[in-house]
Amino acid sequence: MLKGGYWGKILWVDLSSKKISEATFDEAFARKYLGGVGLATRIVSEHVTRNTNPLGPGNVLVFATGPYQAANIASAGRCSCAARAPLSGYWGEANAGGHIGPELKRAGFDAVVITGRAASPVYLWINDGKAEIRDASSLWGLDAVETTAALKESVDAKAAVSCIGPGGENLVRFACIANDNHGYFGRGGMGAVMGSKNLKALVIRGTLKPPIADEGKLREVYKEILARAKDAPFTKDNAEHGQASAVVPREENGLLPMKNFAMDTWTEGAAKIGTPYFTEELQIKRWPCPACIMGCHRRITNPKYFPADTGGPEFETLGMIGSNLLIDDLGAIVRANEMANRYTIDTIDLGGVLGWAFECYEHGLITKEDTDGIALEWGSGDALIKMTEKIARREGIGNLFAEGLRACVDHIPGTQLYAQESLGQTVGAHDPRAFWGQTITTIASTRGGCHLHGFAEAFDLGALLPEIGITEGTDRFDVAKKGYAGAIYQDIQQFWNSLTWCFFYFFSGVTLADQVNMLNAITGWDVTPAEAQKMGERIVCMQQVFNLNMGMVPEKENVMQERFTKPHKEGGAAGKVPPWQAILQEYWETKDWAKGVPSKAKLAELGLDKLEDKKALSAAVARDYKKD
Amino acid sequence: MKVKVKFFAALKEVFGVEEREVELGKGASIKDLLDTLCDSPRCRQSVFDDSGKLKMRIQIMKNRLPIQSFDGISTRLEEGDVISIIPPMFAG
Repeated sequence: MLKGGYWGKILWVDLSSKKISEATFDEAFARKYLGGVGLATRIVSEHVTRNTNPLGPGNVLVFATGPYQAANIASAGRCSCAARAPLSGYWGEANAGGHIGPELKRAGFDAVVITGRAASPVYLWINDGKAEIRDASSLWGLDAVETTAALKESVDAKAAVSCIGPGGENLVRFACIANDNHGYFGRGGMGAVMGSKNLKALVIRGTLKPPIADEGKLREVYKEILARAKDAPFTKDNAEHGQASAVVPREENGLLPMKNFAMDTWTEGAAKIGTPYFTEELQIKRWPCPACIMGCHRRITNPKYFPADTGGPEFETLGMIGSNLLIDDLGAIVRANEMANRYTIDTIDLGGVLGWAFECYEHGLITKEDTDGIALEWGSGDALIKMTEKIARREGIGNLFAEGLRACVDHIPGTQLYAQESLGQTVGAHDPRAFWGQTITTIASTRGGCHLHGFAEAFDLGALLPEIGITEGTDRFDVAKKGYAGAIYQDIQQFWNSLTWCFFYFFSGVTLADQVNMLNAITGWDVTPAEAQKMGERIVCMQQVFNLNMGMVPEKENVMQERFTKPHKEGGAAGKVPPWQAILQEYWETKDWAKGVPSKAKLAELGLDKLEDKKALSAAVARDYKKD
Repeated sequence: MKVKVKFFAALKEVFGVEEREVELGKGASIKDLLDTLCDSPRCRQSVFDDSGKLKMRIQIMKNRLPIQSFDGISTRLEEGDVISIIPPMFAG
């Protein structure tokens, strides 16, 4: 019996048949898959086959909360979203801040699963245990800000709205989903999956009180943790300066992407887009997720800039569409970020695709004839803004860029050097040559190029996990234990994305033991930190099996991008290249994945050899073989 | 000899300045520089751990190059060197 943290209910919506139903789960299921991305991994693995078109009705789109969304605690304003990714064709997941997670939980569901395709545009209204498919024809074509405003006005002003704009409707393969114009399910093209289903929005309102196993214990544990977190230097820094504060230091230490990761330093440019200029010029205010004490999201209040209906650019955006394109015009970055937010396209992949395009233009492989006269020159904010529009609308060459980096390279063969991607997804704004701990997430993330899968840069920076034996890190340029850390931090990140939890609190001194203590108070369980890591390991392993079922060949895909195999000549990472083969080998050995394939013993250890899981994990292959 | 020191992010507040010049004896090292800079317990705690070792999370550059490419904390300094000291940044 579920004592707390869950309703044990999954809302199941088939848009083709218009059938709405509920699936239930028990405590054993909850403790095995936890919630959030873990729950989503289990569901997608069971229902998606190799023959499932990511943009077809057979794909399964999951929005999933975890046990933390049952409690009104700082860090729990999160939610996970997953499907087979249209960008890569492999595992797709995104995690976002905002109201959707807590609101979905209060509405009486742990997750909502969307299958099929509506005959015409619809939105899904979820309210206190009930759900209804409603017509959204009048909303189709509106951007995310307009859509959110219209739905709040017509349905419920207090509802959480997760929606797509034209990027999602036009099936841009890196379209994202906007959550109340505040947080975004950014990666993998989850917005395109919504668009493919003719699903314009989820509108969610909940007033139910989710069960907590031990309210008193939770209050006691949380009070102490919160006091400590409030006092942490990172909390104060993040609140005061936000993520933009990392731009200037990371230009200095070599981590910032500059000119599609080909340039060594960009000091003056970084100062024009990072703090303190960023904060002063944009007249920044904090914009917290529910219950958050940091509020790293930024609200622009300077009326000189575009109407501040969405958040200001964060570090990844400043990196990928700023320094990565050598654009030091903060106004242009703000404008393009606002457009991307409204149109719902991921700014990391936007920067990755344009980095490739600008470099092709520099080498004469793309000309003005291809771009309707737009000069894709490094530093051109005008080109950034115009191409953002073209990509979202799939106009002209924007139609190619909207297909993602692999399609671009297929279109102009021999340009792989300009495409900083893994599984077709752009890497984040973290140059792995500067922090070798980032090697695994850069080349072997199950969701493709990523800076957070997991964030083993933390290992290089001394943010450790003593509860599971990681009591010291290694220097950022020391190969020792980098593959091991890549594996363990990946496990932990998926544990976090299943709670689901904002990992910034880890840097504010909320330890793995603290996280587990809160989990146990909420659920009534006796999970240990070691079990938490095992939960995460199970989830990552399932995702790897999913990718193998989709046809991934790890030895072919888990390869360092060519650009990162040559060192910078100057700057804070000059002369350094991570020995990625050795790191990858150690990662696979830690995982017990020979050449990327989990061993039978590992599957058994993680409880994935049981009949239900074998059926789920082998469904794709089995059905594929039958079809062949 | 004189060297210039640049502090980044939270260290600007800890050391109370964005950059400053420091006078050191000939042949001084990065370690000597840090000992000179850390003239208060708060400054010292921000750079060194309890055992007196440089915190691994602190990144130091000499003339924009990582000190790991020289002799680490024992790297010798020369007149006019610019030293950058960066605390851990966890943005993602």
